[in-house]
Amino acid sequence: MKVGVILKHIWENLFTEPMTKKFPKEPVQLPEGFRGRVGYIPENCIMCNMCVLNCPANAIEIKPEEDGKRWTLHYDRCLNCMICVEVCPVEALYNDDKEPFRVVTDRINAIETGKVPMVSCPICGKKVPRPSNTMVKRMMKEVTPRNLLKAAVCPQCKKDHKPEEIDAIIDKILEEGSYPDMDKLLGKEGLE
Amino acid sequence: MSLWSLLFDPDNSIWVYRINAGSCNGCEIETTPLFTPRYDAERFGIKWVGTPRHADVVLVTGPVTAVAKESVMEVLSQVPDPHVVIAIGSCAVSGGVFRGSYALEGPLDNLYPVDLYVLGCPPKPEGILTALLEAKKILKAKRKGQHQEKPLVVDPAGMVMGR
Repeated sequence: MKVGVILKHIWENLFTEPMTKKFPKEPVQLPEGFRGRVGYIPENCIMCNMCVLNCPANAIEIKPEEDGKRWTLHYDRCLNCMICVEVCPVEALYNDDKEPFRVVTDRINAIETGKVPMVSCPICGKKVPRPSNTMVKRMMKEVTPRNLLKAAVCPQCKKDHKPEEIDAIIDKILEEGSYPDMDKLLGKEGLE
Repeated sequence: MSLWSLLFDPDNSIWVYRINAGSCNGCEIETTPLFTPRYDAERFGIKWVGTPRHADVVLVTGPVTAVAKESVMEVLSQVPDPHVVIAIGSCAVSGGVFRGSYALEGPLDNLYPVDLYVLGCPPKPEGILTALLEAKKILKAKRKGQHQEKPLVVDPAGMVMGR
């Protein structure tokens, strides 16, 4: 009886493939919910520092630059725990599970980085950070040049002017096309 | 690649030694399956050896703790030239979550030149396998004297407490 079982297994093994993963020839099979690399969308970022404060390995830093702020993730310290993705309030970070591993020869330059530029307030011309697409979408339903301009009004001007006045000024700006940072506001320039 | 070089070229069969420099054993758990039937690194001629004096490639896991530093440096000094050192996991690469601790003698590349870094906490076995296949090429270049030595990477932030 037992000999029959063994012979059956031997017969099967003669015709089945080995269980070894053919890794370099075939891509890695990843399970669902795999935590890969952290992706960054600068259009959505509001530079709130939540990811910096919650990162257990201090892998993320935000540094002011001339004309904007730069967000940097150092992969040599990253644990792929995705706590930053969980705490991000504006969906600027996402779990990109397409990259299962990373092998480098230069660890200092293994970074993910992005920059959010400064734009000028449409009323007084003071420099403010570019408004986040997610915030505009949540407050005004859709992302249009008009809504972005409205979101770029600085806090002081929002106090000093009534909403109807702001609407009138923005209508005037859109008609004349006189806003200097329109490319930065629409994300065509300055975002990295 | 001719059959002759496939069978008899020493560049095709590298011998690997592993050091635990204060690791949590997560990286060991990912390294060991390389030599099991599931990943089977031996189909590339990669062999596990028990002494650093036979090794071509050294895998180092864990941040180098103050206690482990002496042993790690002694073991690395016994590896014959040319050899390749691979740092596996966030801890060995940069200190990881332990970066800046008083009990660390810094990440490995503050003490010894490292050729390849495998990032992740812990990295997938496929990543370590890729690094070993890459180490083959580096070892070949080193034997021919064509490998360009990188300057020692010293991370000034690695020694600072907090930020």
